[in-house]
Amino acid sequence: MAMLSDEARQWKLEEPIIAVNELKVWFPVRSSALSGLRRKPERHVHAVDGLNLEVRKREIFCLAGESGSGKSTTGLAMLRLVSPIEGSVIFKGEEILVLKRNQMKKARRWMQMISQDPYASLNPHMTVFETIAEPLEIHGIAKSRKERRGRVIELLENVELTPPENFMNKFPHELSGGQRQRVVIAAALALNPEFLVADEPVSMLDLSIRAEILNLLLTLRDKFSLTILFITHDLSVAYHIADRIAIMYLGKIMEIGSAEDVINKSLHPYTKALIAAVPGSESKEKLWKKITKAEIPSAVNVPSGCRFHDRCPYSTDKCKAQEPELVGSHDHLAACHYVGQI
Amino acid sequence: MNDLRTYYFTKQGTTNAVDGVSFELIKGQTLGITGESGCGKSTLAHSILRLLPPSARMVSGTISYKGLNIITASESELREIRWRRISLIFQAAMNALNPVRRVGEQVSEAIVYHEKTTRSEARRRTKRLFEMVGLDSARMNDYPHEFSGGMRQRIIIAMAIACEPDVIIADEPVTALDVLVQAQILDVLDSLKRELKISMILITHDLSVVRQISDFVAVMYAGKVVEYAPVDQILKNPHHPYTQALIQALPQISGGRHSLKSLAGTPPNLIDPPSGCRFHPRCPFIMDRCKLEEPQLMERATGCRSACFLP
Repeated sequence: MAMLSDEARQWKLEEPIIAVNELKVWFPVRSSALSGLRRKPERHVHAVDGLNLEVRKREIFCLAGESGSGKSTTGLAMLRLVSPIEGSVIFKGEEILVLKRNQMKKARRWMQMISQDPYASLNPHMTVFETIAEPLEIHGIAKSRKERRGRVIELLENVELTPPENFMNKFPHELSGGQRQRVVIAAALALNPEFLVADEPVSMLDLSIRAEILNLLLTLRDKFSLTILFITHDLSVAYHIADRIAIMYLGKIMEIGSAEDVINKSLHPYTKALIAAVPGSESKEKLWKKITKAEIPSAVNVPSGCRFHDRCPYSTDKCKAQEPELVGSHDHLAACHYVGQI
Repeated sequence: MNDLRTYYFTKQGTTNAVDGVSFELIKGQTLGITGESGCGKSTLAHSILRLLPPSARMVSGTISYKGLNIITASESELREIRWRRISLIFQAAMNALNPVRRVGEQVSEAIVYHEKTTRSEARRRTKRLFEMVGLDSARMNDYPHEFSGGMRQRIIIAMAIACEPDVIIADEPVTALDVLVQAQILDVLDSLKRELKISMILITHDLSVVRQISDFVAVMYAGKVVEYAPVDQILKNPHHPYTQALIQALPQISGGRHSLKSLAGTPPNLIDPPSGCRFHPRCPFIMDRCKLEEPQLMERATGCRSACFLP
């Protein structure tokens, strides 16, 4: 496997480290046990519905959107933790969706995940040492206990849980929320991954701790040349941490570009409405008031044409009939028929 | 007449969850109470309606509502106040609707119970309430599961204003809602406040929500109010080091990207709070005096009240 060789690790800066093409993740809806017998056409939740994106080396790429927009499913699919029905996920030039079980296990070394809830993602019966050392054992990285201990100490220092000796033998219940999230990050970093999916890593944390964890992720990115897919519903968090932002809606990207462009020069009416709705935004126009339906439609019956048309204040007949492509220039694209006119 | 003055001092078991908090709420105004988890803000909200769990006790202080001390009020006096005069929108209330009863019934039930009106009169009023909170009154006969989270939260707000209260206590009313829904719910609360001249106590950990609809803000830390000021004042020119730290840690979408400053340390254990100023172990401006003496809320030249020895 080229992916696992040393040459492969020398990936060039600015190049996509992971790319997804025409990714579709659909989940079947089972309304009742009998519906299978009645031969009703099977319905699906279109969680991710034809998504293309590239995450570049050393970049923090934010997927933002409302709940139900498919951003978490995208993150899971990029780690092959859910199976897409269509499309490809290319990690450093290789398709990971076709890898065999043992190949995938090796590939997972380079791709790790930080989840939202530091209370649920740590095993309450395992000490901090055991949690962080477990991936080292599974992948046979540090063979002796002494080696593992050295590595765990190093990792705890990296996530600023110092002195490490004070934390190694603690159980999760003895730690605060911020400290737990640091342990989760240390465990994710144990195998020296290159690509991290961070799914709402700060949304459960208090304000003062949130800033700490965001700053820690920025430091770690610089120190280890990490590439991070950062999933968040909070545009102000995205604006602070991201190099680039993609706004997702019902399984598709509505707008993508640099953090500055997407937030300060947004093109898509959906992005504009989201930004205007952020408390404290300086946007004078209360665009969100014009959004007729406050809630995201069901991903089972995706609206025709532009999937945002039934909530969009500027919708026309064209929007109902024809699905817009991502258009724009200089890396700043939006999927709207009226880009530049709204 | 309608000016509510609340001064009270409580202790919950041996945890000093709310420890010497005083404030007043003026008719038609919104007071935002903010702070990190565990600072005592929800305990404060529940104390006002005496809805505390059995382990909690209010050991001293008074909560006076139009001259009546809620702490010493009898059960029947309390019943008169609860919901009719002061209502509560609590955390995740939208999940507390009865799933097997029609939403319209649930709202009119509150009216019938508290005001002894006829069912048909209550139904008429429920219809009007639905319109006020931006719901289609034709949907009164639907069940809770047929509504989305944001719409259920509107139903809860309709219930809270059903008896035309003077005061609404809203405990994290928009937490866990999407940003567009959040903006619309805050807008409903804000317009109700203006139309019905309701006073509101808004409790939230989210400073940016506070700034959207509050007139005054009280920042709590470890069971105490550390700063109390008009909302613009507190955001532009905070006095207390804790408030300053919170604002510097707040990611903002406007005004360009700047690095977030984090606040070292964790909030103290309220069973054994630090001596002197409770913020001193985390304060960047600590002085010897802070460890020994406790600062009181003091009026500042800028118009805020802050509990800090710094000038």
